[in-house]
Amino acid sequence: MASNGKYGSHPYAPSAPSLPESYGQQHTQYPHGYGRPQQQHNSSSSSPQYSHGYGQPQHQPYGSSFSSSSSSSYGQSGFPAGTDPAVIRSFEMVDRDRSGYIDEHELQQALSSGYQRFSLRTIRLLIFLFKSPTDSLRVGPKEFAALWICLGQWRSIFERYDKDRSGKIDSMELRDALYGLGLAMPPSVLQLLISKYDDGSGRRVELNFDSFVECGMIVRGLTDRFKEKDRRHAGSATFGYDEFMSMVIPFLVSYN
Amino acid sequence: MSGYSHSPPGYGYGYGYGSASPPGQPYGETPQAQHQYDHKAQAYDAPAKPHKNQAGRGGYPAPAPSYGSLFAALVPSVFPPGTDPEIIACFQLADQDGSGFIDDKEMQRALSSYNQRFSLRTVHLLMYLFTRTNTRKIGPKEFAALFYSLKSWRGAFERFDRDRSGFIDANELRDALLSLGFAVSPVVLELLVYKFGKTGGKKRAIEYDKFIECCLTVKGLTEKFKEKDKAYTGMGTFTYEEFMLTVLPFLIA
Repeated sequence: MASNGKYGSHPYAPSAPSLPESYGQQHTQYPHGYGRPQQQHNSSSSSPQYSHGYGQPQHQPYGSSFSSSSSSSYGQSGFPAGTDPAVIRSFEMVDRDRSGYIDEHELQQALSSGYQRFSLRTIRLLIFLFKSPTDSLRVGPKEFAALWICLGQWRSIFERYDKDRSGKIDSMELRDALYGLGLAMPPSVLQLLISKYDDGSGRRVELNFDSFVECGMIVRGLTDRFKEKDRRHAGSATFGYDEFMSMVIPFLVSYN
Repeated sequence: MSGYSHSPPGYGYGYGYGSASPPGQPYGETPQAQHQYDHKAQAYDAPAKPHKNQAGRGGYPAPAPSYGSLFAALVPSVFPPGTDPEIIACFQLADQDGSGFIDDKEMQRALSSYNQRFSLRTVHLLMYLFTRTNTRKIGPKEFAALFYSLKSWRGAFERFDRDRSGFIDANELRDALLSLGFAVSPVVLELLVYKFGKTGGKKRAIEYDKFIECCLTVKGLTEKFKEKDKAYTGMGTFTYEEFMLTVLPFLIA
C-alpha cells in the first residue's frame, strides 16, 4: 500500500487540516474540496498540509531532515530538526514513564481534561494512523509531533465551528466544519455519519471533540485514499479488491 | 495487487476473491475461476437454502423428536419450508416479546447465551449485514441466514484454533478466512489482526467474539465490493458517495 507521502512513515494518516484563515496563515492549497463546486484541480500535493506549524518561519517536512537529538533534551534521536520546542515539551510531559514513546494511556491522559475523558477508541485510531509501521501501539517522537500538530489543527477547526461554544458541534456545524475542510459531503453520507453518533436518546445528535476527531479523521482519510485512486477528479474510481480492503480496514474503529 | 496467490489444496476456493491469478491465466476470466466464484457464492449464500449438508458442517445436532411438522405448522409461514426446526426454536426463544421480529437487545441476549458475550456493536453490525438496513430488527428469513453464518464462523474458529488457545493468530486467521471463502492479502491480514486482536504473549491474536466481528466485517465489505464487480474481474468501480456509504457502516459502528 503506497504511502501518501505526506507523513513519511505514516502510510495511513490522513492529511491534516490546515489552520483556519483567522490564524493569519497563508491559506494554501486547501484540499481541493472533494466534490466541492469550485474545484481546484490541485494535484494531491506531496508537501505536508500542515506545513505551517506553530508559527514556524519555514517548515521542515517531517522525516526528511531527521537528525538526532538536535533540539530534544531526550538525548536520543527523536525529533526532526526544526521541531517546535513547544511540541517537544509536550512530548516530554505526555511521556510520563519516560519510555521515549507515547502509548495509548499516556495519550488519553494528556488529552482528557478535568471534564471529560478522551475516548480510548479515538486514541487508538489516532495512534494507529500515526504510528510507524514497525511500532505496535505507541508513537515515537517524530510520529507524536505529527499527531500533536494535527490534533492542534483539528482543535482550532472544532472551536471555529462550535459557534455557541458548547463544547459540542451539532449536525449543521459538522456539515459546515467538514465543508470548511474542503469536504463537501453528500447529504446521504452526512446522514449516515450523524446516525453513527446518535445515542438513541432522542436528543439532537452532537459530537464532542473526540468524536469530531474520529469522524473527521475517518472521513478525511477515506477521502484522501479515494482521491488517490481518482486522479482525474471524476468523482469515481476503480480499484481492486485488495486495494479496497487495504484502503478501508485501517479506518476501522476497534475496541480492543 | 498484493500478490497473494496461495491456493491451499483441498479448499476448492482457489484464488479467492481478489488474489493474484496464477501465472499464465488471465485474472478472473477462466472458467475455473468463474466456477470458484460460484462456489464461493454458495459459501456466502448457503443459508438461503438450508439443507442438512450445510448444517452438518457446523456440527449440527439432530433435531429432537418433539420438533416436527406439527411444530412447524404453528409458526407463521415465514420460515422457508424445510427450515431446520432448531432455527425456528431458536428464533422463538430469542423473540421474547413475541413480536415476530428479534430486536438488537433480544439478539444480544440470545447470542450471549449461545456461546459468548456479544457487544451491542457486533449485534448491530450483524443485523446490518443480514437485513441490509439500519432498522435493527430481524425477521425469520434473515435470521436463518444469520444463524447459519454464525454456525460456520464458529466452526471455523474451532477448527483453526489448532492449539486450543482460545485465540487465533495471523496464520490461523488466514486459513480460517480461506475456509470461509475469503482470500485476503497478507497486508490486509496484518491489518485485521491488528484491529481485532489483542496482544497477549508474543504476538497479537484474536479471540472468539472479535473473530466473529472480523468475519462479518470481511464478509460485509467483500459482498459490497462484489456488488460493484458483477463481471468478477476483481475490479470494482465506485462513485465517491457509493464508496463512503458502503464503508462507513463498518467503520464507525
